[in-house]
Amino acid sequence: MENKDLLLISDYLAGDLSEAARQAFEARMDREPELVAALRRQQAQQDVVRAIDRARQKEALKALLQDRPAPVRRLTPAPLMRWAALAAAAAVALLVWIAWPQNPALSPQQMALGYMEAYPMEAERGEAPSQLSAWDSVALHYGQGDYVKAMPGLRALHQAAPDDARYRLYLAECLMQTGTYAEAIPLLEQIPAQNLYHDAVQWRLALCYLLDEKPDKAAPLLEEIRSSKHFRKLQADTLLRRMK
Amino acid sequence: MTFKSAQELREQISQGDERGLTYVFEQSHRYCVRGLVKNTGCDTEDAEDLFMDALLVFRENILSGKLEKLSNLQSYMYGICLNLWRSLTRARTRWEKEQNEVERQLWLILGQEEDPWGGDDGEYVRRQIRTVTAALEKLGETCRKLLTYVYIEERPHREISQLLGLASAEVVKVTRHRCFQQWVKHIETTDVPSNGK
Repeated sequence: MENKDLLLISDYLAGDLSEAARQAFEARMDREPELVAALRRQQAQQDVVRAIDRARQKEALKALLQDRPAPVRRLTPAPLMRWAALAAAAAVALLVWIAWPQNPALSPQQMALGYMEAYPMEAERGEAPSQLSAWDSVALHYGQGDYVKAMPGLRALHQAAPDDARYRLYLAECLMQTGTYAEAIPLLEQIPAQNLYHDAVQWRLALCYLLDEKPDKAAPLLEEIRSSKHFRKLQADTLLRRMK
Repeated sequence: MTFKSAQELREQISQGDERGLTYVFEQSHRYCVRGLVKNTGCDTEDAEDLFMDALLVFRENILSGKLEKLSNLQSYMYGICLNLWRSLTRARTRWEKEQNEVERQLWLILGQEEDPWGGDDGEYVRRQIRTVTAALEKLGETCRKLLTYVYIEERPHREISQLLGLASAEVVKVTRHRCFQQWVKHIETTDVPSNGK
């Protein structure tokens, strides 16, 4: 099967084809039985993936709901007893809440550390390291969370193509994940604003400034994130309020 | 407890907020389990299990946008429960009782199809489960999540980009293509013994 047909099947199953493209694809299916067979294979595999996913979700759901009320066969307590138990539980909860020492507020730096999530690897490989290209090898280590091992390969790639925003971003991410914020900052600062990774770069730069104790530089960036449609706007708002 | 709309439930469930499914459970559990026991003759344990399966179907329907309006949550959930009971009964007649939870879920899915997988036997279906499980293990975490979000939960690309922290919906599409190619390759190169040993 040709690669473009494979991607066409992928788009068809994802519902990501335009109306015209979908009709053209379905017309081809009338003439090309091998295309139909490939699609059926994918649908069957999708059924299995769905079953595996549901089995996993069900386990989580059971854990979540195990303390929930009463399967139907269990006897229901008399209403008066139930109210008395609820009132007693509420009184205990109130006492605990009043008596419990309040946690000291987290600093903006501590919060920034909590918000640090590695930028996802856009494609991951499963091959043995000996068969991989330089980027694949970086992706493998990065995907496994081994940022120290990913870094030399990324440094070499960045040196060979200093304008490549992807290498810059992933190198900066590795530096951030290993606590080298001062070195990550210039890498992020030099990624052009119109870049595809703009949102990710903006958020990471703000975190780096905060963690490198430059709150005056972090604040305007966080303001910009908060007032845009950035998907980190709520976190930016929380950080700004905590910085005041 | 206040009434929640389908939109409110979708927001909570899509963000992983436990209150969404907990609410559905509390509102419909007793009604559905009692109804199943009374109307299908299954025992309470089976009815409880089917209700959990129905919650999973509800979650998928609301994430994919198939469920946009909800006039009566109990009736909707009970309808799913009944469909699942029929599917399971049909599938068990054909492939015997399931041996584990993944098989059970697959029986529930295939039991709803007119001619599931063109009349394949139980051993073929079990071999498919082993192949797909092995191929999934070879796939990286991001790809596994992304393919689940796209093909199973059918979430919009914009939402997936936010969940995975990817730059845009376009990056999701490019990544999806790469992941899909890897997926096909892993399936082609995965060979599991026919008896599963």
